[in-house]
Amino acid sequence: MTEFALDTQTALFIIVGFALAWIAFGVWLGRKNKSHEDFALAGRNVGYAFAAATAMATWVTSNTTLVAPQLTYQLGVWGMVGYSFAALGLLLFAPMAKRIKQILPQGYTSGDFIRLRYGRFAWAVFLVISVVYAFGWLVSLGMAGGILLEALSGLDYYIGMTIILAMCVGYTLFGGLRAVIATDFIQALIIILGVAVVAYWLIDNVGLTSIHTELSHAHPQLLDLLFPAAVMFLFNNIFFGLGEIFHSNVWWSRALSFRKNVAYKAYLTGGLLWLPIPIVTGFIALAAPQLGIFPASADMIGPAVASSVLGKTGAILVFIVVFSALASSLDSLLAASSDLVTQDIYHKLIKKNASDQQLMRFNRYCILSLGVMTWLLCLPRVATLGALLNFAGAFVASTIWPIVIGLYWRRLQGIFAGIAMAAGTIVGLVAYFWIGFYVAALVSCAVSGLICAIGVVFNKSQFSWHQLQENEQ
Amino acid sequence: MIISEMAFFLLVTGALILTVLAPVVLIGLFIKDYFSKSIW
Amino acid sequence: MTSFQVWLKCYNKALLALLFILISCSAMAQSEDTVVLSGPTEEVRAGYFVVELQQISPALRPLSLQVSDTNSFTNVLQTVPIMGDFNQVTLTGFESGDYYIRAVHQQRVVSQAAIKVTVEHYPIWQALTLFVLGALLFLLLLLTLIMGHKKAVRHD
Repeated sequence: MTEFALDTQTALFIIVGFALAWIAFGVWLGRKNKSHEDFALAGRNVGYAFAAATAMATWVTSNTTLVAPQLTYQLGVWGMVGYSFAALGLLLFAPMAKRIKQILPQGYTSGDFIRLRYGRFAWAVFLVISVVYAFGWLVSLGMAGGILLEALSGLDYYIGMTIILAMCVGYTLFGGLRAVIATDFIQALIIILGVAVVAYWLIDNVGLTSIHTELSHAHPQLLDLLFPAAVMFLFNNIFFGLGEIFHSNVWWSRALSFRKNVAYKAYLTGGLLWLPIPIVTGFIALAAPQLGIFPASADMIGPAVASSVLGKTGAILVFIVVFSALASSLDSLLAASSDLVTQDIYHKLIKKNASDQQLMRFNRYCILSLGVMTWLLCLPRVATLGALLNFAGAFVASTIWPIVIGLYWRRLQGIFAGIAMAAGTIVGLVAYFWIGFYVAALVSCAVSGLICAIGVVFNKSQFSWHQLQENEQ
Repeated sequence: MIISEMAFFLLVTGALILTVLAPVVLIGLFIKDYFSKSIW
Repeated sequence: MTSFQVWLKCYNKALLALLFILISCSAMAQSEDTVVLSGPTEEVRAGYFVVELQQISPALRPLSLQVSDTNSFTNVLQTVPIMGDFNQVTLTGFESGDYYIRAVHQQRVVSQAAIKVTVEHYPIWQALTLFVLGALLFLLLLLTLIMGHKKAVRHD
């Protein structure tokens, strides 16, 4: 019989308690939502504190608490340092967020921009990329929720997965982006304090010297600064992160929801605050061999170390941290993806003269349907669905150049942007399967960049920025 | 080329200190926004 | 489908089921005090890999793996305890070389045979080439972004 870090009843008590509290909080925040703009973009008036916290907390996904330790366990010091370079995504998005706010003052989604800037073909390619990424992420988060809660407490996969999804759908449904951002603020504080406590305990009780000695003796590769696989992974991971942030509506809708002049500094602050976190969570994994902890699968290493060193308190702490990390990303993705469907598909294709109330109602149905679809896809517990996110790098990295060039320059036409995204994705996928995971995003970004460069060189017509103001009509 | 113990120490403790500073910064910003009525 | 075909299908199924039961019984009889290990069959390129353990009887818990660089296990590099009642473990941090792994319960070797895992890291030139290409592409992106940002600020 497996001994779980936390007994099932306590686990159930914690997650039901949290779920009810977050939903009540969502309902309370939702009372201010009078229009669709309020609901989808928190009234476009989010202040600096919440803006910086939401930028940071959303990027602290379950990946930061689970994958950063996993990569460190596999790739050593470069794994954690390399993972922390994903902060570049937030930092480089800072000037872009300012530009987005400037050229799309009334915009709603990243899809809006692509459609208005590049036309239908590029928009269709972009939507495919967005859907693959969003579903890959949603399903992997839902599944990770169920699997982790089960691994930590023995709580049935279906119960854990259902509660976490229902909770996120619940408060996003009632509170909209306001609830997502406010819960992100609190979740960010919980996550940071949780990982800091575990890391401090390890430094204080196990000691950095003994960890270094043990690793250099029995696992030298983990401390090797010229670890080939880790060196290869570095830039690929950076491009993956850049692609994720640059294309995803999660980040665009935030930029659009922030108060004027806040977007730039909020993303910059969020990025700088996020930067050290993967090093701290990754370090937890490096202490594992010294403690005699060798996980069944590498993604369990973070929770396994934390709950083994801190006992029941640690288990509760890990449980809450992981639960918060999962929720802070799931809610953002639900809100941003349903905005994309409401605005880009319903409002632009199906019902162009929809009223504000109709849009708000449709957006809510969307959140609910996305939640149900994610739940259905998580039901069979097929690992391959969660693995969709692994090769999402090939998809998202292809959008980097078209978005950067499209935001600042007028000489790239839609046809080239569309081909760049499609070809980048296809070649990136081929590279993923033929060469390895460590080149997918890199190749995708390079191919897409090359096609964009050809497009800029051979195109003589100039895009008129006024065409972006469609929403004001 | 193995990372030296000193570099390892600086990397981990530096990251931990910066991580602990994050909630202080966030709460400080929140208080500032709260008093200037610019949370939302 | 004719009735003969249906009969033949049922017969095949029954035969397969019987065969499966027989194999399971013989495996169970064998597995009372031994464990079957399996590891990566191809070269490991990044220094970490998963070792799976099959047919572990509860009597053999707690179970550990011993890792050595010789088949005779004269020099045991690591002793790795298996967590809880999991049937696999992820080992990490290996340099290039051949490694031998066996299972141990209370200082008694319980694996039927030691397995051999070969770790062969990617050549460093390959890693550095990708690193440099990635760095150049990143630099280009950074310059484009800075130029764009400056242009936008000028026009603001």
